[in-house]
Amino acid sequence: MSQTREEFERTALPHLRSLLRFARRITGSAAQAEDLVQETYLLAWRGFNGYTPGSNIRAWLFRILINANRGVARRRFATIPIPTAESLPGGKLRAEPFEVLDALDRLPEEQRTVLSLCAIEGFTGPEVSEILGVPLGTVMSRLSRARQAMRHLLASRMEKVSK
Amino acid sequence: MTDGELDDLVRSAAMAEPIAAEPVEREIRHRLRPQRGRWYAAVAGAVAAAVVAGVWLTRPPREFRDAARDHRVEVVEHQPRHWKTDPVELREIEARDAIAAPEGFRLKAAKRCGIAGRLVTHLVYTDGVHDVSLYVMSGVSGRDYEAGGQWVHAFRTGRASGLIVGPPAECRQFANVIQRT
Repeated sequence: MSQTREEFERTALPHLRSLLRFARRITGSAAQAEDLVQETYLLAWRGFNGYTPGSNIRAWLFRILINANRGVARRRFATIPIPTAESLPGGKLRAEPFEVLDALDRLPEEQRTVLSLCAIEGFTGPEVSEILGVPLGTVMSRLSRARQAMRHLLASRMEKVSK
Repeated sequence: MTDGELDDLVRSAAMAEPIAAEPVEREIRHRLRPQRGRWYAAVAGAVAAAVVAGVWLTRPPREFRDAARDHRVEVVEHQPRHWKTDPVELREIEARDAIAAPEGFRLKAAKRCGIAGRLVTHLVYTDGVHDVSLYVMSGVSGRDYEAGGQWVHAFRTGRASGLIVGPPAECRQFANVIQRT
């Protein structure tokens, strides 16, 4: 095994689970997520010479994945219209994990992507801005709309359950 | 519900989702490795291409191949054709084309024939045992060619040129006689 490939595997493969989890959210399919992640790693390996050692490899991998996903026609989620919720029920929302993920999957793609990167993967706003190649203000507004929509979707679900 | 609480809810739901990372990791590691089989395939492909190119470049001209096939079908296998066999007509053809035949051979039949997209005169000589075809056509040249036990040789005289097709020994006889004329 060459030293460079060994280094690539050692630094890049630990982020495989994060990439799979995120790919699952943006493709909506476990199989497509696996394909996308494999493609991401092959692209990353080809471009590994351009990677600056010591920089944020996780953000670099996510950026490649986002671009790879843009480059191919992948299944898009059927999103439902989400009304702007000015006032939503306060208090704690109790929901099963599958209900939360179902609500997340119903968000428009841009919102789902930003919320997944921030809430699930723990990236900061500036990191998401760099990964997606959009201004920080855009990231924050998408994140805000995503959270608002999630609250509304989960609250609607709870209302239906309680009736 | 605060932003932090919502994010926690989303994160814990996502983390609870099972992810089968091991098979994907195995596949990625496999695909990252140099594929020796690909080199073998590339080399085998290059060798095959060279062989095909060699065969293509060294194969005889189309006239030779067509003449060999025509002789086999019409003379060796005697598939039905409209031959001219009238002695008077054959003498006229012989006189016109002035092809010298080896001793013991006589013109047995003649007809017009399509070779390599051209209409040419096909003469069949026989010594009673062996049949030899002469295709009278201009502008053919190339190395001798053997196919299915039949020999193909390009000839040129002062007045005519073409191809001799038949058993090797008899063809050589024809070639020697024609060369002397």
